[in-house]
Amino acid sequence: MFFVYFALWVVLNGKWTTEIAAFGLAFAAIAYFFSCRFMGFSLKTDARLMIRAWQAVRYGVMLLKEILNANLAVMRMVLDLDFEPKPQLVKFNSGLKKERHRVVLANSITLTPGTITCLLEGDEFLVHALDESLVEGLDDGVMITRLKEMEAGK
Amino acid sequence: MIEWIRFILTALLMIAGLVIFGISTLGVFRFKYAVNRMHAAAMGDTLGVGLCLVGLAVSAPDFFVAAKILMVVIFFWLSAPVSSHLLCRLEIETNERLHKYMTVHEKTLAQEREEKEEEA
Repeated sequence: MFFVYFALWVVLNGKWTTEIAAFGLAFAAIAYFFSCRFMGFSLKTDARLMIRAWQAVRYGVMLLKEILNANLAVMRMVLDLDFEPKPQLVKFNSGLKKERHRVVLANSITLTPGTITCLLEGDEFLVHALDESLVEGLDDGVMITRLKEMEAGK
Repeated sequence: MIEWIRFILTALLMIAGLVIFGISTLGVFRFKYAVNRMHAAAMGDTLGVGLCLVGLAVSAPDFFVAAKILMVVIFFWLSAPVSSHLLCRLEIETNERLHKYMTVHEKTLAQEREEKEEEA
């Protein structure tokens, strides 16, 4: 998280000088102290997350691919003028244990066109899908299996 | 030479993004029900904005401007689902005649799959 703050500071400054870097380090430290104190971050969990940062990158790349596929599917539906969508409202249990991973999954589902997470209570997802074909792979697709792998710590 | 490659790449990405925006606008008008329309609008929100801004980032004068533009994409993709989730939730929770507009599944997907297997 410290590095994220520092990178934000530098990028938003738009230049790289010693002064900016020094101020950035100081302010990132202050912001990081604040988020440790009041927002539940801690050095220990952050260190653990950093070791597994490449998993997040891999998830991001896969999410990009999913977004592209879903976009193409929905585009085909829009351009096929005879097509009438059959909207579905489905429920499923993700089986993910941590709140963080559930939120990531819900956000990813909403981000891919054609599916929107309507309700997330406990472990139960309520998802609205534009068509029957988009329902498949919601609860056993790539996104959820990858998240389960991340949870298991592989 | 490199300027030309950058220009062509930018133009291609921007045109692709705008085409997607066009299709998503068409979809907003073509589908019948509010939540269905949101799916079409989500298309412009994700790939449309993404392609346009990546095109701009390619043509940016230096690294920091490109990084800022890419950051816009990331923040946009983090925040856009939240608003569409809230809109959809409002619709689902307040509409009393959901059955008219969509197939409502009472059972979870796993249960439905099990039942299908038992039948087969």
